[in-house]
Amino acid sequence: MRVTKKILWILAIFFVQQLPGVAALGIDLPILFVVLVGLRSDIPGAAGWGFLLGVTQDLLSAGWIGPNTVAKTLVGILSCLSKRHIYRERVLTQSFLIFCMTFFHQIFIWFLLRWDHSAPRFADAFDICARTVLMTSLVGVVVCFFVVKFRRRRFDPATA
Amino acid sequence: MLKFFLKNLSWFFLMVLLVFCVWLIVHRNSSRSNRARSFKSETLAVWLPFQETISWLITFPENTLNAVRELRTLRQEVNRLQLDNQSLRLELSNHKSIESELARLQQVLALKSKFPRKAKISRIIARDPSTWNRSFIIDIGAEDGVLVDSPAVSEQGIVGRVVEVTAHNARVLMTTDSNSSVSGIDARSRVTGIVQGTGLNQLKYGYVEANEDVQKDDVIVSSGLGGAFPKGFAIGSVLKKTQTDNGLNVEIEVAPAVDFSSLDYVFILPPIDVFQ
Repeated sequence: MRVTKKILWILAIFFVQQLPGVAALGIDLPILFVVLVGLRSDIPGAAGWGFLLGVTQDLLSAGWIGPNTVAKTLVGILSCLSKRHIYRERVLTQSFLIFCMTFFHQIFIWFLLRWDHSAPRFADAFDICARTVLMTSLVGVVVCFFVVKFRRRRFDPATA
Repeated sequence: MLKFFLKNLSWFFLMVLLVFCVWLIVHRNSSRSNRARSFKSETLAVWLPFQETISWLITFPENTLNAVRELRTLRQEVNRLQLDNQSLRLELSNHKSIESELARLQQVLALKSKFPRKAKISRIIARDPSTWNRSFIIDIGAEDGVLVDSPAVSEQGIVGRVVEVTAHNARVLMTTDSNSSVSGIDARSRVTGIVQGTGLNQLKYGYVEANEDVQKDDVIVSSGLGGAFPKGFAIGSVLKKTQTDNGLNVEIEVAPAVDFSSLDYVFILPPIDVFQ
């Protein structure tokens, strides 16, 4: 992917992410993107995307720089590793992976915030985690449906 | 050696990323330093003009479409308003005499108006992209006189306070953020406490003893203590009061007075110390 294309992707993701209601509803679009890119690139590439989106999210956010950067880099690596074990061009498989990765991402950030003594109390953190996992997974199903359909049409028109 | 390095360049890149990630965690306090803050502010200064343009591009067609739709109902509205206008004129003539009486009494009592400071109106142009933080960006900044710790309020009550300022923009930490706290007082019973954010669309009224008189639907307003927020602004109303396990303290859930989901504009007041 060219550098300009990458920059345009990052801009587009964060323009949408910063619109009223998107983050407040618990939707984390950068995770979706990192997981889907991780399924289709090598480990350094996936980690690079995770790092780039995570650090942008931390820079634009009110918190300290680190939680999203580290969590998304790991999500990129794990998504890339998981493609060896799962059949990736299925909506269900990809949606399940997004669910697992969002869950891992939120739990990881929660541990980092607890370690930093800046985490919300348990019940509130649980609520934030649950809502983000649920909403991101729901949006993930829709995104995966279109991604799989688009890729089939593009690379395998016979089965589309 | 160089050949080996070039062949495995991407893996070296990965190693560098991972080492940097570990460094970020270990040296997390350095990301709170002034240098890191100024770097974040500079990033925001580059980013926000784009975000502002996109925000305008999205709202402009929607507003135009709504304006066209509203034309249909405008005629009916005009007729109704003309009738209202006549009755209001009558009321106004009565109120004018009362107002002059009030003005005279205020002079006699030397009452200062509650907020003589000038509030700056600002538009919200972006929300926090993280699901763990509650903040937003406004379209005025240091050049418009916004300072760090300036309180942000709306007609509904306290919204939050400014935590970062760039030349043309500022970040407001909402009262619902888990790192936010406001000194509050129960408007009915005058019980003081600290209203803390939870990270969700809810607040907690903490540091209140179990035997204190705080009841459901009590309105919590800012106490003015701590010097961050002006006195008397609504923060929220009590939703639920539950005893903690040890029985010494109570846990009080508070619904924010401000509807953050529909908030488009906020007023920025000068920080209290500057004002005084």
